[in-house]
Amino acid sequence: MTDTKQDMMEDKREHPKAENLPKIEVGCGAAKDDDSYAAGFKAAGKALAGITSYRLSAVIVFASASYHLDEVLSGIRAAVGRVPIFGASSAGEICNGTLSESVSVTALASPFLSVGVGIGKEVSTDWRKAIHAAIDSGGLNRYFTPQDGSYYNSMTLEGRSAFAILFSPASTSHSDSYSPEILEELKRLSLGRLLFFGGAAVDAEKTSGHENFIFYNDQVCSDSMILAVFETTLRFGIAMGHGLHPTAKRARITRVRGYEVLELDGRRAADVFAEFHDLKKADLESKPLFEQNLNHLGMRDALGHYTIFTPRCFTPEGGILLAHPAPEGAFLVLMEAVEDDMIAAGKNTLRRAMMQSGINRPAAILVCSCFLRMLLLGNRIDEEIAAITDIMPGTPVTGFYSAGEQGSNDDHISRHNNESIVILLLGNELSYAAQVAGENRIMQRALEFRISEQKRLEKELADQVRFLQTLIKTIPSPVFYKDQQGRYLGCNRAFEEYNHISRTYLLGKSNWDFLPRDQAELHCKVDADLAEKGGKAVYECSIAGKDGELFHFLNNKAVFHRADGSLGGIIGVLVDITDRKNTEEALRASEEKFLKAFHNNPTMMIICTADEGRVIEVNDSCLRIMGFTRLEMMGKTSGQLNIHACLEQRDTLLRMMEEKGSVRNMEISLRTKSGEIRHCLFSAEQIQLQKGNHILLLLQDVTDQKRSEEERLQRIRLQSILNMAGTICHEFNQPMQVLSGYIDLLLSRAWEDSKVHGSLLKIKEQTARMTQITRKLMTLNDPSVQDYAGIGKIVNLNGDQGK
Amino acid sequence: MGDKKILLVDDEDQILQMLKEAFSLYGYKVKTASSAEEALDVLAKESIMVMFLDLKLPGMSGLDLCRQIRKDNQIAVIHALTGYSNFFGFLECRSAGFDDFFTKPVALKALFKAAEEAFEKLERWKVFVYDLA
Repeated sequence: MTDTKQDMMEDKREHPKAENLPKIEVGCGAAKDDDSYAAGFKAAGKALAGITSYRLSAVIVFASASYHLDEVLSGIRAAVGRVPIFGASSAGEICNGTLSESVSVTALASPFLSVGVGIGKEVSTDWRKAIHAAIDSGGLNRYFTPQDGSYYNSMTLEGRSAFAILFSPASTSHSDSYSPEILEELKRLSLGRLLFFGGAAVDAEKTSGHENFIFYNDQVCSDSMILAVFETTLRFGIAMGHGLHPTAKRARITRVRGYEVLELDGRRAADVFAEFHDLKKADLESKPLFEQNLNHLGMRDALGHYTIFTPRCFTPEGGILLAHPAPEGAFLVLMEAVEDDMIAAGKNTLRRAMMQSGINRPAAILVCSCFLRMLLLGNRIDEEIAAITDIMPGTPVTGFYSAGEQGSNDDHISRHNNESIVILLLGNELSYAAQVAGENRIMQRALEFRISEQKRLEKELADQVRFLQTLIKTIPSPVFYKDQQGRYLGCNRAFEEYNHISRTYLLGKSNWDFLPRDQAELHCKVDADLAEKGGKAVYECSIAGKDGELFHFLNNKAVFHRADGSLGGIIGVLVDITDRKNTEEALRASEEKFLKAFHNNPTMMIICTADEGRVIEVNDSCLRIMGFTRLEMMGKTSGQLNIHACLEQRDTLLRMMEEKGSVRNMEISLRTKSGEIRHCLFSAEQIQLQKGNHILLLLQDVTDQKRSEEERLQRIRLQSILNMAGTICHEFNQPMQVLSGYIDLLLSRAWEDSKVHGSLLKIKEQTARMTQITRKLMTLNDPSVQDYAGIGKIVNLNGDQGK
Repeated sequence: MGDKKILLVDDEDQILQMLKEAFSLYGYKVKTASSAEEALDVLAKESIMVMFLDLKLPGMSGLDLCRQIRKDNQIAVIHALTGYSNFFGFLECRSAGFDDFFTKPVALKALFKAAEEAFEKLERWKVFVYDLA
């Protein structure tokens, strides 16, 4: 087998969507030429003209033995390339008509057709050996193993069927033909499952020549047989006919030996045959019987058809040598030829082939016609093929004139026949079995795809289920799911542990069975809302631990639906937020603490943005001291609030913040809303709040301290002055006492000298004035000073201004 | 009645000399001391019932001296004579046992009057000498 099923598939792949392409392409061509190579090349060229879409499957060649046949094959090979070539030498060629001395080439190309071709040689020496050689060389054993019919079964399952073309050697001048035996052996080996088509090769001198030939690729072989098995999904039909009519002359075979019928009706067969023709036996012994325009013998089969037995010659024992063996006991009938019926035999055979195969769109008609028909029909032989072409115009008709044909009739049994026309009709359409098998294949592929898809989905589903189960089992948060009625369908280990409840106990239970009444009511209310509205719900709940500790959870619930869309139940995941709650509580307490510390702090506190200085928070002390409301201060800058009494101080602050990033206890003056100036110790620090740069301002109101300090200093200053005045008084009064005393003493003595007395009185007066000064000094309580002649400041001892 | 004895205590020698001269002219017998300790020595030796004490003295002050004298002698008429004083000083003096208070410079006439009145009081009280024992 040279072309395989794979080749078929390849061709199909080449034209996967060629819906409108023919299933098979057939081309035929014939040529005559003095040059054998040219004849082959031309004929092949014509045949190839009909092949446009597919790679060649096989090339069948019929050629007159008058050519140099090997050259003919070379010419064909040059034209067709690598493809199985087989055929036979012919007594005449058919190529849409009857030809002679020609080369006829038939090219078959179809992806639905594969061909195996084998050759068996030295048929006359050992035809059985030749058969097996042909089977072996063609790789055809699977068709010819009678003990094993499995290959035929597999073909049947796949919608394929097979037929064989057999070209065997016809008898020659020195050897008999073994075509009937070969056919019967092949039928036996194939268990009758193959239909055979073909004929026996002849030479130019018909059966009287020395040799005939078959073609096997590039070989031209005599005394050889070709066995070609076509395996196909196309429709085909084989029929055989001859157009001869039985006469009333008949005789039973009473003694037979192989091809030789010795007696008919108990008499010498030669005598009976001569009598059938009203002739003497001696008149017929001069040359081969079939060349003497005698009527042939026929044998009726079960269907009423007649198989033709061509008498070849009388034997020395008075028997008749037939072209193929006839069984003893059977009746041989003398057949007569009616030309018109013989001409019609071709088209009638074609009709039977059509009916048998159910072909509506024929692709090719292969014909093997007996060369004896050429003799019988004479110059009307063309009409036989023309009649075929008439009923099936446009369909290529190719073939050859042979010497013995193989074919089958309506009983589907292949027989060897003589003087017959055998037709193999190939259809351009798939067989019913192939169509069914094709549909089966498509269905199978679809089914396989669906099954594999389903398996894949099942596996995916199983994986998902496994994954989800593992996920639910492993997840540290409690997970549960329950039906519409609130009965638990399942839960994970975390749920069991938190609720101190086993899964086995839980299944089928509702919240009422294991939760306090208030909690069960809460959950049931949420579940009812969910069942009614669908979607999701998130709410807080708590579970008491074994030791009374309360765990807080965020209960995330959602409804789930069944595959049909109906409500399946509720699935829930509990997220433990105990730590978060505790942290929140701690944070809230901490926040409250800091908030109180912030607002109740006597130090004024302001938080403002670092870039613009806008107030984002201010404490109560600041509002109270500065006289603004919170609303008035929030979002404002110090400039907008006009609180800086000294703009130079503000500039200094800004510069310090820019350079050092902080300010500590800098004394500044601020203006309250009412315009009062307050003295404050200003501190500032950069802080990060909510990913933004801010400044925390601390302002300590030191206005009162400053005022009391100033008073204290005033007192100290006064005391110093008083001390100084006391000291001066004390130190001054000592000599004053001496002066005063002595003046008094002197006055008491000098009263008689009025001049001295007068002077002493003036001294006493001035002393008294000085005493007055020390007296004022001693009672000084206001150290305020007054200008002294524009050159300095002096204390006002008199308690009045400007003196 | 015997000699009218007056004790003058002042750390200023000029003042002591002037006052001694003045009181002597009016017939008083004058004893002087320039410190409290010296004054206590004088008083330990003789009975003097009228005194003029300066408040500011080296060592023991005039106030302490007065307190010390008053421990033994509640009858004597003791006058403070100070170069500087104020209301609080006056209160201190009264508390320490001074009978009167004079701020320097003081007219001799005022001092004589004070001495005279003191001796008039002593005359009325019939106490001229305080028993030293």
